[in-house]
Amino acid sequence: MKYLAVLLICCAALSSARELPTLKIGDKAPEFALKNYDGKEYSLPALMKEHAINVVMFIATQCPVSNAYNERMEQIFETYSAKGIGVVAINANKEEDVAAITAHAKEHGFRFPVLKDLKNVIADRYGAQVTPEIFVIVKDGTVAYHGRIDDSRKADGVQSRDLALALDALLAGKQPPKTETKAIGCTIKRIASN
Amino acid sequence: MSIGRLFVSLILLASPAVLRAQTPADTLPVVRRIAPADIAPILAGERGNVVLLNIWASWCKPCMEELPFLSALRNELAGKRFTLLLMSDDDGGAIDSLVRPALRKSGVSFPSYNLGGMDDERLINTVDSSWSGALPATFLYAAGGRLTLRLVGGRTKSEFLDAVRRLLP
Repeated sequence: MKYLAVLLICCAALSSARELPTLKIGDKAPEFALKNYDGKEYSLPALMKEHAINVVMFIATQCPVSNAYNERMEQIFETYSAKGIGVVAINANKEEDVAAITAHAKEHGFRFPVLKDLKNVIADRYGAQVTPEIFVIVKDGTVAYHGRIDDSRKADGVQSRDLALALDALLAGKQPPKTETKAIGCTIKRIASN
Repeated sequence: MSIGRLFVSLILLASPAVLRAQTPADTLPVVRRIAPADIAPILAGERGNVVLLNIWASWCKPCMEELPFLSALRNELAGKRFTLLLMSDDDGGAIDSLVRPALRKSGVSFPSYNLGGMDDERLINTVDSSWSGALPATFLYAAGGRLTLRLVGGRTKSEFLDAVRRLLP
């Protein structure tokens, strides 16, 4: 306990310049207009006109953690798009082009759009750091949930389905039981600066 | 020993199961399985040294690119008041199959740790609650134990070396 206290006191870390501030709960979600891998454009204002709640998932094609969630992301889409929630993914990795995103989406049978964030402009505005990383945006355009899909990289080890719990609560007009969660994942590979 | 028994023994010795059996070299380098709660006492035990704590995983490409030069940096700073702590966040069941081979491939022969790939949130909040959870992640502690720098994403050897040298006496 003594060690933990010392460690926590010492945790005012100076982050390196590469880390950008992440949106906080209640922050207005920055608008975006990005193209899906099929060329169709999706914008946040248009999504918000169509859906009261939108799930924005920063994902990757090569990240093993993101890939461990492919089926679960598809399940989220299936379950919650049927309940009127919008689900889009964004790929901001500089090393993953539209061709790679297209092949990956087709291989895994994604029915949700995967938008290419060229030069990681939107990832920077959201302060997304890791894949997978989720932002849930509600009717007034603010962030109501941020963080992980659930608490286990292995699908059979999940104990807390945090994103689903948050969406269920929001659909019921309640606050999510947890609004911010974290998980280990892959760094979003960015271009040096915007 | 009869010819028959000798023949059977030779067959057994050449069987894949025997050939695959662990040799002492397979158990090196030493990797100790720990929980996030063990990190604070490990760091406290290094008080007096500048500490670079690198959290990595075998599935993380930039982590694998960093390991060889982190190991080289440790050699370069031998004799200084410096400790390099490597903690893999691979699944605890993968120490033999993934962690040790990755360490050996990267030239790491000194003991390190495995966090088991579970309880991410506790790990993040224990090490640095401002950390996003993105790997690789490296944390630099001054000799007094104060966390002074968090380096997330793939870095160069000179970035690590410069940061450490600024804190060394």
